[in-house]
Amino acid sequence: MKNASLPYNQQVYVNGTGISGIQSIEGNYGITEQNVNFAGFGYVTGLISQPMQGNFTISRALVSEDPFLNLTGDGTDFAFSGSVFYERPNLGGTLDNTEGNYMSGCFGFHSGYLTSYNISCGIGEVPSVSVAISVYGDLGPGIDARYNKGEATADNPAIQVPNQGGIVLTCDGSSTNRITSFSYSMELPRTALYALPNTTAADLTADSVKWKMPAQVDLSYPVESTANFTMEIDDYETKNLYGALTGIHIHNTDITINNDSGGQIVKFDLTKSRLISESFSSEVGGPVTVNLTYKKYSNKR
Amino acid sequence: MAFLKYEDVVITLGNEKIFADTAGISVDASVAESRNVYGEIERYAPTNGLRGELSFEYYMTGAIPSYLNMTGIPDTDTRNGAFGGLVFTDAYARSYNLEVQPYSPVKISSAVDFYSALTSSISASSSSPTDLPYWKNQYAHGVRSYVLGAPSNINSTLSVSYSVSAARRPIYLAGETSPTRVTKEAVEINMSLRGDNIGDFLLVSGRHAEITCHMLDMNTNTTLDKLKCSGQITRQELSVSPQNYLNGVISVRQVFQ
Repeated sequence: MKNASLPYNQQVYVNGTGISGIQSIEGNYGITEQNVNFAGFGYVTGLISQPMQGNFTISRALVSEDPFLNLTGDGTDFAFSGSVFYERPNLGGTLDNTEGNYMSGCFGFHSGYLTSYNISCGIGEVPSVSVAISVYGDLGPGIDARYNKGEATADNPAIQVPNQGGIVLTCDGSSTNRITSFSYSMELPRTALYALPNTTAADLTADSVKWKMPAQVDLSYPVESTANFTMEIDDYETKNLYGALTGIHIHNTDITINNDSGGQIVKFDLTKSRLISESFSSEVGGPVTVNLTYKKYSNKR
Repeated sequence: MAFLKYEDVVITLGNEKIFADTAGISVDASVAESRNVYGEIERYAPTNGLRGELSFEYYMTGAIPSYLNMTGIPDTDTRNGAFGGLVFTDAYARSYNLEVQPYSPVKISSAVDFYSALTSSISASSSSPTDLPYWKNQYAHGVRSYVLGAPSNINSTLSVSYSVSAARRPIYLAGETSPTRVTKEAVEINMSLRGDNIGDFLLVSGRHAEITCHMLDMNTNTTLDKLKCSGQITRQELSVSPQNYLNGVISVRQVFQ
């Protein structure tokens, strides 16, 4: 019988931590090949011609502390693994994946690095987070990112659903105008540097993974952060376009999301961010709104 | 058939078919105008014999073939060849070079001089590599090839360039249009390593280095060849650019003859 693996019986782990609120997860890899042709014959085979890398994207509702926020830094300390476990109905339909009893399917990755982080929210919504991950290690089935491979209970973050009153936003005019939605994104492009193996042939024969992976993965600076606010106007006035010629408008913007007891879940500080676009809109049946976009660039130090 | 397709052009050197990815052949006649006392051109006269060049690029599918060996065979070793049905004689290897980079197949660029006219005519032919006795289905690749002997403070080697070249000089006897001999001179091996450092600082006399690049098949871990350069480091350089890394390059030169 051909069955289906349905989303209610799946679990996602990142660096040993079970993640709640997952809305979608997608992973892929591609191999770039160079065709080998011989004059007098034609195509013979394809050879790998680019480092093998994969990508994951995960989106989730922000219903707890966000483990991805701790992974935005530079260096190998910020590499992480992840995996999604899914039931395989014909193999018992459970997520039991303990040693010797591999009933569930598993799709995961080693050595992933966060390449973008986005969070957005509007009135009446739970904030949603989406992240993109570049994978420089292996990717596929059998990669177990659970804490102690599921043999011990992980210290998973507690569920803390933010309510509307717990979201505190600061931008130009925010004290007297109503912000109806915001988004914040961080671009974290990574550069992977691959080197030739300098090890002995014995190590290569051992099929160790170390010579397949990059020698170094670095964050490409500057890191670009973008905050976007949509505001219903009370007394806010947009800036003049040509005003930017005498100096870009610089403001302190801030996004803080607290749980229902006032504890901080996440906070984004865009001190001295640059106002780089404004849009004004008005239509029948709705209030006048403006959309403000701020950018901030952060260097290595 | 007016034009031959890529699949119909077989290249042969000696007894071996070349698994060339790209190839070209050219012949040059050295002629100069002869003028009379009035400055008028009387005719064109040869000033040297014919000199041709066969150049080809191919994926390294085994050891460096004997027809490219410039360091281990006598300079009298000569080969005949064919290119798309055209035949040439008196061919001598002049140079080859390659670069090993992570996750890239290794391609060799070669040049062979020949000192004859092209004969016969262009004709279609084909050759399946798998039918040839020396076909191994192995490919040198940067994913497994590695370097030994790099200066100790170069921890990561990003790429290796390797080249062997020789100068060829044909010797003609009076009244002959084919060389009686082609000398092999100024044979040298050059190797350069790009990495995270430049090794020990150069002395006025250079600095000795013995570097070997082990060329391994990407699938079977078989060593296809070991490319050696035992000579003096003659150049060190460092460079950096925006959004990039500090790169060091060392160049090693070995003179053979």
